[in-house]
Amino acid sequence: MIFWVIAKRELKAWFVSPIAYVILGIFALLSGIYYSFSMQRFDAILQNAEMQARLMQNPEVLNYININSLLINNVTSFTFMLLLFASPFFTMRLFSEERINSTYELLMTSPISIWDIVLGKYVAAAIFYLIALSTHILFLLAMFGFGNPEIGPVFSSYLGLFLAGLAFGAIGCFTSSLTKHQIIAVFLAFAINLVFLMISWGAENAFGNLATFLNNASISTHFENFNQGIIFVSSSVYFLSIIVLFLSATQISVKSLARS
Amino acid sequence: MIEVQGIEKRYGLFNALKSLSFSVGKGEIVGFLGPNGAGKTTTMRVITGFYPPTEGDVLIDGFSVTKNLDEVKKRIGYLPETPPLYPEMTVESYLKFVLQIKKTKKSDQKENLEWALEKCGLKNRRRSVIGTLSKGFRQRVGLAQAIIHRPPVIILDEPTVGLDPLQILDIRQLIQSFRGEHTLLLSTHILSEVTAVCGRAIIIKSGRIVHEQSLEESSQKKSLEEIFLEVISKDDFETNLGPDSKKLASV
Repeated sequence: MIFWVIAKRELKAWFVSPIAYVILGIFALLSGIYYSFSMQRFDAILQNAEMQARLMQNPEVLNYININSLLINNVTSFTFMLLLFASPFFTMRLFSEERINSTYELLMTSPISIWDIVLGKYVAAAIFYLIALSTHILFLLAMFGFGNPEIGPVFSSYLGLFLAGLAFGAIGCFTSSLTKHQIIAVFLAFAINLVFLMISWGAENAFGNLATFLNNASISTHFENFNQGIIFVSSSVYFLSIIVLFLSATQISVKSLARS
Repeated sequence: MIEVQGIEKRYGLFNALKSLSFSVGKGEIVGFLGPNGAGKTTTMRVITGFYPPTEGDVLIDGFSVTKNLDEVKKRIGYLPETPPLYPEMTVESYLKFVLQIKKTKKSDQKENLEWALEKCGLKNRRRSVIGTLSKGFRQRVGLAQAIIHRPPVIILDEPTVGLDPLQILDIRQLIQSFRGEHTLLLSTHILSEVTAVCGRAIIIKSGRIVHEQSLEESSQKKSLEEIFLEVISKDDFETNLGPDSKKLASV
């Protein structure tokens, strides 16, 4: 399990540098701010509904107030967008750092395969995503403590977030392997992530098969499937194919590092 | 031990190595000399399997870098020009990491670690963070990294560059202690270094071997320095351009 050795080293290196804490802190802060705003909005909606129920003497109205769709999905949708912009920072140093330290010469002249290197780095990034998402445990505890959301859709939303994060991670891995400048890796990853987000925007003006294609090519469509509480096989396959595609590209790019 | 068979390396039109052939026997220490840009680093990278050669082959202990790369990598310890260090790790954890990626047997790891620390004089620096070490100590950690899995072939790319005279002496003594046990190829452009530690010198210029001589017999008429200056200043109107460029020029 050589890739695990590399992943472990990567994670340790991350957590001795201040950047990991800064990025985690900003991630937690932004999602925290959004969470508290959503909470206020949900509170307003709830009070409004209670008033209507009293006025109309019809408690049925309250049944339309669903904490899953009105609060949790709101937060996870925001987190999805946040991940899209934050994940390039999670992955920027993966390969760039090796070039700066010239440690890629050590890795490439060791009896390990390039897949070991790529997988090791990627697993480290995946664990970092889990740590970033685990900052949401606080919000979830509050929601489950004071309300009674359904656990199934919450699980599916977070699974979607994690899968989307993994897809962004594979993209970030790839851009990091292209350059030794971390900032260039970040912007390239932004660009690719945004392409995957915006590709569906053209669907409104398209017809027939083209519209279907554009919609299904977008990462947000597939995330929304998960966010609605439905685990589609097609959406899981979509995320997996992005991951496989970009990790293979990374492998080729790392291999060609020595071949230039 | 090292058998370089007519390797060529082209980067686009640039021909960095032109059918370079030489061999290094078991236990020998060979100095690889040449002006900057002669192709020393490229040759070493081809030997370690970092670059695949455009043509030709290198055999390490009978294994070919183009066919049996993994076996070759197991038998080679390599110190690149800049030591490949992770500045945030401690010396000990870094060397343990290297042992793992070199696939050293679990049972040998502890012994190898102590041996390399002892050999490179890093015993009382084992808990230091690499980023805080001086250049001399970093170079030693780099050396420790190259020898820790006890490879039969050790390749050192300018191991003494940027060190003070005392540190250079230390490193030289260390290199000499490998004589007989390990096969060692080191590149440098400091001539006195070669005469001090090597049994043989190979001088290359623009990707070609221009001189090869044993330093064991002291009955040489000319000193290595004279020979070096003579062969590298010879202007033979050669360019580093490959066969394709001639075609281009004629168009």
